[in-house]
Amino acid sequence: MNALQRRIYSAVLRLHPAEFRDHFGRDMERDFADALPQRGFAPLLGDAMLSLAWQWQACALAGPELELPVASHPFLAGQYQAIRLGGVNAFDLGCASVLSVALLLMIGYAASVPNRRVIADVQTVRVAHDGGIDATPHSLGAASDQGRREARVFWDAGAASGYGTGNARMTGPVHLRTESTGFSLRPHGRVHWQAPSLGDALLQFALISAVVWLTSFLFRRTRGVGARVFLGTLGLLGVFGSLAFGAVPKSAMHAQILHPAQPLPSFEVTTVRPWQPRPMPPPPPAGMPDTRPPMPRKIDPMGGRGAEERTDRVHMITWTVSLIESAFNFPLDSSERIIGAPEWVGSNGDRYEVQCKIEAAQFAAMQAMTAQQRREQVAWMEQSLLADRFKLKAHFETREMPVYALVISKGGAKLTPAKEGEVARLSSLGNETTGTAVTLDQFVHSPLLRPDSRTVIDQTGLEGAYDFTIKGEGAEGPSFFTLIQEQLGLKLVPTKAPVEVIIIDHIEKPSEN
Amino acid sequence: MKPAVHELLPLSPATLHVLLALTAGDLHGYGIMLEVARHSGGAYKIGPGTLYDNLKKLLKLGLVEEIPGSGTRDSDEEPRRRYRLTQTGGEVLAAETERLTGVLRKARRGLRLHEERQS
Repeated sequence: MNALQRRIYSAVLRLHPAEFRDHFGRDMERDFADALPQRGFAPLLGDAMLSLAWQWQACALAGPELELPVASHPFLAGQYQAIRLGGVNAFDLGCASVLSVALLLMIGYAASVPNRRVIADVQTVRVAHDGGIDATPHSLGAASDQGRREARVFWDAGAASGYGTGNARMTGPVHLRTESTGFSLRPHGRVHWQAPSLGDALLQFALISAVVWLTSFLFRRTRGVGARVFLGTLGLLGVFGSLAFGAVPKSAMHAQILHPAQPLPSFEVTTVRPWQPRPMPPPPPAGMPDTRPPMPRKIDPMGGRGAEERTDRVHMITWTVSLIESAFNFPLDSSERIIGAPEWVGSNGDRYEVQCKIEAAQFAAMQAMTAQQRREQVAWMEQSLLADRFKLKAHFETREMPVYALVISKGGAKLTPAKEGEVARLSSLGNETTGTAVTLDQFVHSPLLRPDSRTVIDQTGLEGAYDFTIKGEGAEGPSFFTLIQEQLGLKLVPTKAPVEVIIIDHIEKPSEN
Repeated sequence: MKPAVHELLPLSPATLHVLLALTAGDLHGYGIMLEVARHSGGAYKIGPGTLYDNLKKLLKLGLVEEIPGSGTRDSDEEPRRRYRLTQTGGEVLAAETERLTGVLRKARRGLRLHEERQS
């Protein structure tokens, strides 16, 4: 029994500050052993616990400790404690001011660390176009080589036999034509909760540690009771405030990736076969009737403006990477965010003609959904297709990646606030791009503002919707990005930011139908 | 810079008893505990925690000094450190005794007056 009690007492002694423990620990253990038979275990253990608290308190008060009257553990002894105020000179005051400001800044930054992603996420909400978009061979022909973008298009079955430009990688700033309504933009993507990354957690821990150290440092050098109470409160608020902010669930960076749903809907019928481009018929001579098949008209199967435009068929000619982008709702040309894919998956690899049919009951049920929900349903079906036919297995990660930040250029933004009641629309026709009631966030997620596959994030800090027109774009003219700097007062700056990516664990070429 | 004697007053009961115990001579820790219990008639006892917390402070203030212990040849154990009251410690104890004497005097007079008023 005594051996156990000695071990417990030794364990309490080991918790004392090292300086005290090294100097007095051995003698305390001996005295404990001598006193144990007469005093009993409990009073001596209580005495050691109070000593533990006192010694750590003395560590925190190392500065003025010597100036305090010696106290004893019986709490009655507290009546003799008094803190004497010393004189404060200008140097002390200056040091205290600098350190206090540093402490406040540190608390603020520590609190903001876990929410950096929330801020970034707000700036990177993806938009989806809604409504018909024509991508014709003529528009391709008019394209210049100033940029490279990709249009994911869906053809109806009747038109697909035409020119085979289905999921076409196009060049040039004018590559998407709007028929009448252009893009109808709105935020897309579901917010989902995500734990802070290890890096953020460690950074917050380091900052909280710094707050604690700085608070105790100031505490030791502060004489006044009021000042100490203030400092103690500030330190506690800093620590618990930071932890509280860290505990707030936050949306993932670029949460717009469409994660698989359970259960995953699937197409009723799917056909996937390798595709080779066919030559495009030459245009007829002047004055002769155009007997070519009608231009392939892209129909977003679920996003049509009316039910009559919707079809239960999906027909696309696509690279596998584009199918993955479509299925997981990546912005166009996001191949850098699709990691670990073999070469044949990429835009220089194999192309496939994919024809699918949505089951009738499912299609009927989708008519009651919003366009957004319908599009998600189709994307999930595409995920199902990838899993079934391409044997895709993948997981998601967040990585620091190069991005473009849209910022205000030196001369200031030249944007006109949108009029009340205007419908958001962004269109590009000929050498003119027009935005109506478009937010900067929507603008950065449009395919018009992507110099390459990097994600673009809005760091202008501008809120609200704007009307703007960008003129002069063309093969011979300045680039689109020069134009937005000149005409909108905005520019793209390369930087780095956390971005959600998909890691391909396994994928194989589709089997025979 | 060590504080002046009057700045250390009043002493806590534990400190007072530790200093008082050391007036009996150089003592190790357990010896101080026993002496405190003895001269208070068993009414006041301190444990090792309280004792060494106070000794640490008293050493820093220079009221007590440490004397390396002298062990026996038969024992493998490191000899216990002993503690001695310094001159400053003696002065502080004397000042505290004087202060308490004044308190005692005032208390006695106050009590006598109180009793007179009662009668």
